[in-house]
Amino acid sequence: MNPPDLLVVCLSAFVAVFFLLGFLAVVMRLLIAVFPEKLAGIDSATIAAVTAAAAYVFPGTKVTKVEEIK
Amino acid sequence: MDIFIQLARDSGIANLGLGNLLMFVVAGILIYLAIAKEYEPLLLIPIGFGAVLANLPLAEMSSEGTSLIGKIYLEGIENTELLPPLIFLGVGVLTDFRPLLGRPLTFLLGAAAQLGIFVAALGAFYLLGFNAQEAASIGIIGGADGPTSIFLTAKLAPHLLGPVAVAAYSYMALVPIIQPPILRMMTTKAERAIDMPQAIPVSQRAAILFPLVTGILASLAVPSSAPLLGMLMFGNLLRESGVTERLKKTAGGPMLDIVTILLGLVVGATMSAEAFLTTRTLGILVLGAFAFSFSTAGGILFAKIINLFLSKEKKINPCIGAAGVSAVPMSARVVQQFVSDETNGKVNPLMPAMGPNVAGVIGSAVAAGVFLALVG
Repeated sequence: MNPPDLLVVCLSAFVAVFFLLGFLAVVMRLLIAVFPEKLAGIDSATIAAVTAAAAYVFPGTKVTKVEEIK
Repeated sequence: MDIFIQLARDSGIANLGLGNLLMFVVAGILIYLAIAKEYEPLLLIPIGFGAVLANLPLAEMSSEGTSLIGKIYLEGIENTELLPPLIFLGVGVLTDFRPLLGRPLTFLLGAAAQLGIFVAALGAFYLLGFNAQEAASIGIIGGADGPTSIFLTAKLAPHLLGPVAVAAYSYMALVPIIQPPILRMMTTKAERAIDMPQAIPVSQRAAILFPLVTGILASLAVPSSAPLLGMLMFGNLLRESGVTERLKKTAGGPMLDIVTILLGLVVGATMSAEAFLTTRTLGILVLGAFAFSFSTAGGILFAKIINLFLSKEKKINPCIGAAGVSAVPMSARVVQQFVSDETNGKVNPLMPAMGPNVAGVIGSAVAAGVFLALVG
């Protein structure tokens, strides 16, 4: 059997690299969806500090939710 | 008196040729770049000194000889291909794949940035008359991955190991010079200013499963890439498992250092004057530069193509595509520096660029595996 033409080899290799890495991308996205990172909640000291600060600036304010945006 | 004359005749000085002297200059340049410019010093110094040893007449210190270096070359590269996979084990320990896992789309940039491998291989084959095995070995320089280049070349075209390794490591060291002009030429100001959204947080479980899943899938798909990818993923599992601290420290520290010394020295010792000073070496160095440039351009171009299908808030900064060449972490740092300079520090895509950067390591190992399977 004759060895394949290098042009065909290169095209096949490029497609193989793309296909395999694309497939890995999909699998990894699924992995991350199945095993999501559990974000740690805001600790009580932070909530108390935010509540105190808000109450100082706007007396009577009630803080109902503290969210950290990374 | 005759004894002294005989001693003088048998000395290396009497047998020193112009080629040897020229190779001392080449070795001197490599060592100078390593010390004065700090370009890949951990590799260029062993390679440079190996080249010096290989060109000492009658000393038989080249990789072809029967000396210690010859034996290490024979058993470490030619017969067993042991050393490059061990480097990959250490690289796996040192590599954090989370930036890639947090942006799975960047896997594709790592694939696109292998374009230069195939362009250079075709150029070597059709324009410069190298055979298919030699062309594949030259093309892999575009993967910007030294151990992969050595692994493939040792198997397909061992006589080209010296020039290919020197080209691969030299161009890796020259990433800060090669990539910025290409980045500037291929991206607009608006594209450079794209600030990418946060990556998806990656859990410890996903980080542990990644090396297992990738090692299995990639090795099943391209078994000839298993020595590289298997060891890379094993090293990464040692890192992520959190319970193999001693193995992790050894594989990513002393063992990696020892293997780097041995690999650099024996690769340098392949650079005897008769093997290195040929017009083919010049061709390999030129093609290596093309390979690197096309790989950089491939990554950027593909990022721009992906952007055509993404909403405005999800667009990726096309500059990170350039980091798909697997010179880790140099390429990602170059992208970070370039974008930060161009946006006055407002956009800093170091972590987004690490995604394609580490994907490129996987991509170039897969490309090497496919070459081995098809032309080996």
